[in-house]
Amino acid sequence: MKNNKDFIWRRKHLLELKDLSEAEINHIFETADGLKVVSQRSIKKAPSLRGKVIVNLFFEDSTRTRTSFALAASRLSADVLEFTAKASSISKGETLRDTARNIEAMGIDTVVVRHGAAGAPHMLTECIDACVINAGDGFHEHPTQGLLDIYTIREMKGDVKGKKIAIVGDIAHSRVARSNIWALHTLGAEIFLVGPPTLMPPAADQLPVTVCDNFDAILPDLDVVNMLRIQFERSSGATIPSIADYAGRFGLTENRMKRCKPDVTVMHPGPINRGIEMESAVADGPNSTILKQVSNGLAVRMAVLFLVNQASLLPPSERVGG
Amino acid sequence: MALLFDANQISDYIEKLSEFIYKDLGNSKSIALLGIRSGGEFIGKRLQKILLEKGMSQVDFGIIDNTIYRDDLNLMGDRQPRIRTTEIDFSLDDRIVVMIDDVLYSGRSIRAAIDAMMDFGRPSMVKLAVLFDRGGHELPIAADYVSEKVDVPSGKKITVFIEEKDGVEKVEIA
Amino acid sequence: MTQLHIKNGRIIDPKNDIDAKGDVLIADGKIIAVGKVKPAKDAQVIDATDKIVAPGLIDLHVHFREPGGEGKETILTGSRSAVAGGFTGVCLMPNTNPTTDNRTTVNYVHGKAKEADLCNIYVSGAMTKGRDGKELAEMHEMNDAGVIAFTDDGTGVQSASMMLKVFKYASQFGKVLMQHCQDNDIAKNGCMNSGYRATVMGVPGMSGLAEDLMIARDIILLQQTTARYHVQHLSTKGAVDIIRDAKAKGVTITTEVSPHHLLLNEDHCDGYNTNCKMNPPLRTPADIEGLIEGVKDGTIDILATDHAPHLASEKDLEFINAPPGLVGLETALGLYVKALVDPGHVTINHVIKMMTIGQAEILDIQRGTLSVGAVADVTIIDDVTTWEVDVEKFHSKSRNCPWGGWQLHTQATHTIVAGVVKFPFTS
Repeated sequence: MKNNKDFIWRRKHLLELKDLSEAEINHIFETADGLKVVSQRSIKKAPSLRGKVIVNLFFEDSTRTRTSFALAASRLSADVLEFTAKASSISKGETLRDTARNIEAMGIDTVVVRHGAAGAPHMLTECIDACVINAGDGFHEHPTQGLLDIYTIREMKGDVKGKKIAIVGDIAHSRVARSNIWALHTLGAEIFLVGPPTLMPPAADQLPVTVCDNFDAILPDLDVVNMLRIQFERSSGATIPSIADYAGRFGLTENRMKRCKPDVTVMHPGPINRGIEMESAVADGPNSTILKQVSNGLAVRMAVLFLVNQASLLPPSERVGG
Repeated sequence: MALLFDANQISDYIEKLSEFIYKDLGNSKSIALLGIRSGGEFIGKRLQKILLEKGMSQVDFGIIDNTIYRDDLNLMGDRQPRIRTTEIDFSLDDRIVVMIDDVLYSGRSIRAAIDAMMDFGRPSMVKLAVLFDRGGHELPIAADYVSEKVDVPSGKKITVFIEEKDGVEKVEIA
Repeated sequence: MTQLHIKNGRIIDPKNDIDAKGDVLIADGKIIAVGKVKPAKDAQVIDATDKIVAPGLIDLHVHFREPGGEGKETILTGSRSAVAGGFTGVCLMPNTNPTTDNRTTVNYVHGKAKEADLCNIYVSGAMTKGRDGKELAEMHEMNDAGVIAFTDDGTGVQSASMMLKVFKYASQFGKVLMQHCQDNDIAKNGCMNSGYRATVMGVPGMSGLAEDLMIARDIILLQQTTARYHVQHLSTKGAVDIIRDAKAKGVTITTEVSPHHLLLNEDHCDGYNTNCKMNPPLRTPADIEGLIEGVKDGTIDILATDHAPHLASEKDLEFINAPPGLVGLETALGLYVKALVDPGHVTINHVIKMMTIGQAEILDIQRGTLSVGAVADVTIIDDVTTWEVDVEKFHSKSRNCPWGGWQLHTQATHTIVAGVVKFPFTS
């Protein structure tokens, strides 16, 4: 779907994909298409965000997302501030609001925030003037990851509409899954959530998906498989008995690949646990788009940084979402 | 809204522009035309065809999007720039490049296109060809080849509609 | 002492089955006549025309944060909030700092209550030391010091064997045991109802199972002893059903429900609204229906606010980190009527019963009636005038609640404790 050339991006914040319209999602993709070239030529810089200051406010460990945003920002000539902090609560020290306000007082334009508490980016929009981009909050959403996943699907499969897409793994605790679900649903894909019942979120059947605990049964129909990282810690709270038990039923092995469509797209947000979510041969195989996802992530994040800063120039009455 | 030129006149102006370019660069071994999105995109493509028909041995064509190099991103009010793709699948190093646009006005758009182009490579020579120069230059940028100087009252806008992108072909002042 | 003559009100006294126009005459802190009265010439008169005259309202579940949390509320400010809401008696929860699990702290609280000199303050003591569910608290000492009930509120006793011990030991004193029913193994770090809204918001949820399971367990244990047992702040339909069945079998169990569990559901948390973060959490419309059924058929005995003050700065944290709870004394009456009477589920008489004699019977105190000779705890209620909730006008020290701007039409105009008008405030 090609956008109206008069389309105006009106969001100064990107907190979740749940509320984005099809037109908005496509506009991000179109913008990413145009910015991709910056990373592909020898001079990997464009001046669009020159003079802007972007802060990476990360309360949770993350090298990938943080460096991806930092690189995206500097490709657009923005200045990047790195601020990593342990999650704070009122008994431990500075509150999130105070931290953000203090940083803003130094004069910044955009905050990219990752926090263990869902709703933290939302809170920030209520107390600072800068643009806020959610880089992952609790189990709520990880919008740019969802976007780059779907951007990659679009690159591999053309239109997302009607495609059968499986998301496999610990859905209950996955913000990546949720972001994917909302945007894929808006774009008309058919979504399967795959995993054992202990890893499904409450009321999963009320989401616009089909819940499935038999991976083998749906393999031949899938156009895309998005494997989520699985973690296993031995504790009485463990939701799977062992890695082998999980992987035996839900791991993407070479054998399982044989039962899929020959051109099935295999995705993973990274970092991969080789031999757990998928076998090495699959991760490195021709169907895997894992590295493409990383480079697409750069283009998508450049697009998002550019667009939110554009929207911040609009008067508040013409903006959407604060 | 007043019609300034019709499709036939536009065709003539493009032909005229091609003659200027051919007269100047016809003997070069190869040149590259870069159409500036979106005014120069399709005009440039037509010029490529015409110049090849005139007998030039190599006329490469690429499209350049200057949006991310503009200096007026903060001032666009309720319009927003659309970032589109830049499509140059050849090297620009040591090439003779002719940038193509439909209208030259303040010169800022050209300035941004030149900056965009420079981040792709280092041409040996860059020329600018425009269909219409309406004066009102805000930067010291002039076109090397101009089909027609047009007097447009300040406050009014001249719009060139091209069949391939707009479905009609005409020039309007509004 | 001058008499107090309450004139021409609609007297609603559920214990004595009275709903009639009449007067109430009070002297020396007691009710001396009801209906047609012969007041002394110099009697102080309160005109209760078009108002309801009820026994003083009681709430057996409030948190006044003293000792240890005086920034949020003190016994004085809490008492002011109580009488402003029409309450002549409140029962304080022991999750103070230090915990009210010993004679000294109980005495301290009683002392502060005496200083405040507003409503009756009943003190509950903890069931276990420090409310940590591991060792029995000094129930005899506390009973001697005058506690009215035992509870670990804020948390429930997790271990079945410990709860059995509590039941047995407490049965010596005849005081009601009140339980915050929450199985932490199921609830874990849930901060709202486990369901669709929590999944969409991306926060950990706690299932109604955590409540239902502990209630079911306690009902079985309870029958091994003679203890009296009360389930605090009910929130699920499942719990109502379990208690209904138990009552039918003759188990001595009572229970309460709050205004927020009757009016709000999990969707009100959308937008990470910490003013809607409660424990137990807001559940689903189906649960609200179940709770209302429970009120109608008497499964739920009383209404209680679980008045829980918190600092604005605490509620100004991320949803998962903000403390749960809301203040409730000054909006209770209006909200109960909005939830139960306006839609026609029960009469205002039923609501008053659940706020007066129902409470008194559970606490085993001689209150909750307008019988001749009873202590003159009386609440006069305007059930007509519409008023808008303005949190800045609260007498409580705290403001945390989602009721700001709500239009209600029931509030206390006078709160009389032992024959003295405590509200409206004179100073």
